[in-house]
Amino acid sequence: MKVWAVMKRDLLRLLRNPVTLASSVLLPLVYLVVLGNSLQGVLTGLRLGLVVADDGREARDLVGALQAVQNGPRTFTVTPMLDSERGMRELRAGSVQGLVVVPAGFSRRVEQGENAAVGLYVDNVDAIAAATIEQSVSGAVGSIGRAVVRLEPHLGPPQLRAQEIYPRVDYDTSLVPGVVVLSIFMASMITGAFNVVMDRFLGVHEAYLSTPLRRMDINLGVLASGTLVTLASSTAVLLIGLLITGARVHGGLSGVAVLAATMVLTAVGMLAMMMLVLGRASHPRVVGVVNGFLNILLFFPSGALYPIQSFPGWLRAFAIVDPETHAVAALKALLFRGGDVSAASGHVLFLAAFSAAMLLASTATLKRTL
Amino acid sequence: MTARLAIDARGIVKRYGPIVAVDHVDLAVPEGELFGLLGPNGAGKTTLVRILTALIQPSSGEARVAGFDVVREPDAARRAIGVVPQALTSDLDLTAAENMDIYARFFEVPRDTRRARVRELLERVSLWERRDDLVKTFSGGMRRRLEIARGLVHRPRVLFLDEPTIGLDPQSRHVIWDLLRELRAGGDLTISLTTHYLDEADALCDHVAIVDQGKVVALGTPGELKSRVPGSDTIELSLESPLPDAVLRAIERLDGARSVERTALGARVRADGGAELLPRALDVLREAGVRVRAASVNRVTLEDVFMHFTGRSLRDEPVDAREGTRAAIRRLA
Repeated sequence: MKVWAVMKRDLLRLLRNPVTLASSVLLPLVYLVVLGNSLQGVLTGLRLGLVVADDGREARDLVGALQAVQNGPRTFTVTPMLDSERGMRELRAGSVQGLVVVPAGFSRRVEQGENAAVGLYVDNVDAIAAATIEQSVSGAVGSIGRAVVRLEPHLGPPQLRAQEIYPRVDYDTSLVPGVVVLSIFMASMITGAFNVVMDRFLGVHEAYLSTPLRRMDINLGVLASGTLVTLASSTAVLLIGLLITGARVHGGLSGVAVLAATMVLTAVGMLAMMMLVLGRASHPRVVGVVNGFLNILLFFPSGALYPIQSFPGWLRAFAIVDPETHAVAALKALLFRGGDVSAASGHVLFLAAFSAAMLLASTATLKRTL
Repeated sequence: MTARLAIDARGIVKRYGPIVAVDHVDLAVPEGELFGLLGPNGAGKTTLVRILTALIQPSSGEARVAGFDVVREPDAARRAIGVVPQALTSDLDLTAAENMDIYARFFEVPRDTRRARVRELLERVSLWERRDDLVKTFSGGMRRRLEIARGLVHRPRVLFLDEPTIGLDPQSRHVIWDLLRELRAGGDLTISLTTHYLDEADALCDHVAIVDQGKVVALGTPGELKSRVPGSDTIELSLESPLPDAVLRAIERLDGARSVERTALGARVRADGGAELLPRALDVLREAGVRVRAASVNRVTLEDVFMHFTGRSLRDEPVDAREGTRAAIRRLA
């Protein structure tokens, strides 16, 4: 009888809170769609630079074979480049994830059955994307010159000489940027907007809303305190991550400065986004539901766990505007790209624009009255 | 000379869909008064106070507080008022002094006077010795005193208190009452006190407005309001023998008597001016040889006033469920 009464009480309360019920249906669906599409799939749309210093038949065949991959399985799109130097610059800047260099004399060597080789430089910051590129380019190279009668058969067909341009990043280490971004998200969940909603839920806000505080005062104050807490916790997570994996911040002081800017902008952007979404909520249950939803929506498509190139088009399009994508990419650049802070600059600019937009929008929509 | 008005509200209406929470309310409270808003939960008094404190906007009507239009000049109005909401709103994880200091900063109280002001107010509410204690260790009465002090930290011209003694024990209530009397005696401050405790309004307020169903149904000093209730003084007579019919009718004919009824102990006389009627009633009984054991006069209360103007008792009013839950959570927090 008593158990029945407890159960009935619980059920009645749940049934009379449609948000809770709806979220219990909606969240698994979001998991299914977002998570399912974020952690598997064939990589497509990787960007491959191509420098061809040879105009022979085999070189043209190789270009044709690479274009066949582009047009068939679409593993990568080929971008012709004038010379290796420029190609390497693009590779280091993250514009392309791989660079194929066909050297002068390649066709002649193949035709003469000599030891012919094609160079492949890969951005190994994303190990999965690097391996996929290497596999596809290797297949294309292997298809060249099969009809040639070799003078020295032991030399075999043309070789692919692949080279990773950064020190090897193992999978655990590659997760550090994602974990740091996740810690920023988690800390922004329990500060900022959450405190505002709790004040509203408890009725405490009535006291400070009757003071001359402006929307901007309230928003900036809450975001500033949330940013400090978020930075403290995410910095601790970063340091622990670096300690465990042995990774380090490259680029000296400027690298550390850009890293700090990335973390600050990510924290401000996240906190302001929470204020925008939750600025009018009045029950902590809403915070829990919204945070669960946002966490899945933002983290899994961010490229922290699996390359964005494996996503279906709609999810890839979302990933481009996902602030966590840019935060993860900037941190990866700073931790794994050997000190070239320019590789992070585009992402940091995006985060700055996102934070500014969220700050303005959350201030404009903050409920100043009861 | 007409006194300047601290609160001047005209035709205030607040609608929530089809519900009219505040219905064409006019209020004129002179500076320096302790003014009471009396009414049951759901009467609209808290909504009215929230409009006057620029926390919500009226659907129509105008209100000026301390000379500032609460809709057009909300920031100026907020600078001129102090608010002590019904909810306990002090931060539990901060000390008393920190709570005060932060609100002083909200109001941009200059740094050189902030510390002295905080000390003065905490001493006034007898919390200076506990200034460095976390508020979570305070009793409800202490928190309320702290919040009154906090509401005064910027020297407001009008102080709004919403149910300041709700949930407090009698001792704490009287401490708050003494504090309000002290503030009232200062002369400069206008105090708006919202309450549904009739004795509180009776003991403290210069003028009282009774609010019911969003309207002001009666307005005046407590004495004026009581005098507008006919026949509500009661004389209780304890007699040694039953009251004869002739004597009952003789008492009924006395000037001021409204009705006489027999009770188990003797008789009950309803009258205007019961204290004046009592000696004459005793004369009638003595002349008739009816011996009186005891007699008492019960004066009209604001409860009777409320019953008269609204037709129902304050205690019969339903409690707002959400407010009840919030209050419970706040007590637990």
